[in-house]
Amino acid sequence: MADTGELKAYIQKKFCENVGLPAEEVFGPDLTLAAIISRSERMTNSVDLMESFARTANALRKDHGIRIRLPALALDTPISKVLEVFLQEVERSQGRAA
Amino acid sequence: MLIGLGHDLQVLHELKALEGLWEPGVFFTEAETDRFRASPSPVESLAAGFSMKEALFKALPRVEGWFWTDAEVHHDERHAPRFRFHGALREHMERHGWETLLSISHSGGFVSTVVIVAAAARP
Repeated sequence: MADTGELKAYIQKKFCENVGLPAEEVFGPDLTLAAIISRSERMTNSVDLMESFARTANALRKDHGIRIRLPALALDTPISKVLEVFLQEVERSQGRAA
Repeated sequence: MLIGLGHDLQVLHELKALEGLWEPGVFFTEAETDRFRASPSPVESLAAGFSMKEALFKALPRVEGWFWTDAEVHHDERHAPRFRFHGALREHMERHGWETLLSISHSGGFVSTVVIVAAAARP
């Protein structure tokens, strides 16, 4: 089973692949969700953002057997907060499986 | 008493390429994705489900700690869409005595939704 640090890196990598932006550009300055949408050429609105999060969640299930739900967060939320909730969901999922 | 009003508009052709949102238990509940897949127009049904949740999000004052699967859309006996709340969102709605009113229209490749959040009248 991957540890929290590995899963955090995995989530960051998969999300950045889905939005088409380098990790240092997204997580370095801790962009808000609105800023990520405006910088990504693959996204124009919240459907695209949710699709990117959903694809990240689905990859986590396929590669690590971890099921997570998507949080309802405003577009002024920084990506670090989203990552924090994802990791809480990972803990919840692993606790349920244990 | 009015608490909030939210509107959302979705363009159907923009949702045809979606894959991730079809996975149950992520953005939609399993009952929701089952209903979308069983409908005559699955993409239109998914678009409607997304639009209703987006409009709800806009209508709600900021509520921390809820997930999109906590706002589940179902249909009443007249086949009108309604929300069924779960988890933190359900607790919040019940604690404040809030209820939702929901209206949706499909036309010309668009889905449009209006959600009102209101405080229930108390004696």
